[in-house]
Amino acid sequence: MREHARTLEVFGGRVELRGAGRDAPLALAVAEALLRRMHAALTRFDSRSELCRLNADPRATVPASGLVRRLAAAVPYAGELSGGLVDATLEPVLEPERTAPVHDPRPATPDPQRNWAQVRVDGQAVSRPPGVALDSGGLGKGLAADLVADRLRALPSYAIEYLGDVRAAGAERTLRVASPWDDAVLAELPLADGAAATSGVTRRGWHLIDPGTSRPARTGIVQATALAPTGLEAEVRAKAALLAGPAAARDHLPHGGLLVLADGEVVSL
Amino acid sequence: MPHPPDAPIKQRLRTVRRRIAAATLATFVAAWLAVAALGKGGATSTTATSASSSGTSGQSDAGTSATQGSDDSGSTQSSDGSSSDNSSSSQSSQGGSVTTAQS
Repeated sequence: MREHARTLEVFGGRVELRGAGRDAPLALAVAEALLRRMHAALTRFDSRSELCRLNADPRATVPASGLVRRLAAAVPYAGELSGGLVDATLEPVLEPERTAPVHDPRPATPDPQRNWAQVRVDGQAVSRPPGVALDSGGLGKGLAADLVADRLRALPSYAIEYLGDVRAAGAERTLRVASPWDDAVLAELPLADGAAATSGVTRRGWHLIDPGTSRPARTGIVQATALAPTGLEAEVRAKAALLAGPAAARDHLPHGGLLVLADGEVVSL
Repeated sequence: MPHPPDAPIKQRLRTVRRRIAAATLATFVAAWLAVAALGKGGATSTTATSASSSGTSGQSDAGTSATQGSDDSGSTQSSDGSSSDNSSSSQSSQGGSVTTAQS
């Protein structure tokens, strides 16, 4: 069976949607429309986006669309799942340093304030402490993949490749994990139904923040790939594994994954 | 337009055929416009290829950072905000490979 494919640019990168079956062209078109709607609602780089307006709103509780409510619900989910390491209430690093932090490698720690735990969806509205902004970052990416997967689930098979991450079902595929340093393939893993996400500091710089210090994290891991049932979970687990450091990363990868340590060692879990 | 009951059968058939062709064309155009609207209009081209899928989504990571992760939507600030109205369509064989990388 052949798969139809659509490629588009959203969230600052390339997304490829693939699906098999007679209904695939229309399903992929609908999925593309959803992605564009999500981009418009959740982008941090357009002050007119609903997320930016929410973050600028002084009220503690703000009416929000379903997409923004889904993102808000993902914030405490990510915090709980990662033990506070993936904190979407922290200010994102827009211009990461290209050089490593000067401190010795050490595991990241959670922010004792736990602002992420105070983000709630109340009916048709989002509540969060005044002044606390939500970052759509990786959570928005994983969430988008899961919502698109919902639209494509009736197809015999589908795959979503989105900005370095993957969500797929219905067919045996080979998941290639790219090297953190070049375009080489580091490993190949089987992937049938589920998701994979990769987080790292060698391509974009040291953009992952240690919530405990609010400084870029240097943990001894330069890239972490996580397998998980959903895109959102994979996204959270990959980041949490990297932030946790080599000793605790395994705890964050219960569905398997791959770590690349700072010395180049590759650890398969 | 209606035909008198005694109109030649050939003329009636020709009219019926024309109506069927017009209806088919109208349905096709309406469906095409609907799909284009769903896709937000971008220029869409269709090609067929037998190559196995390969995808790659570039390198990316997570940029995602969510971060505190988060960030990203993949994007760096400069690129994150971008969204192109263009999309492309193609076909490939089922299965194949997919790639995960830092964004």
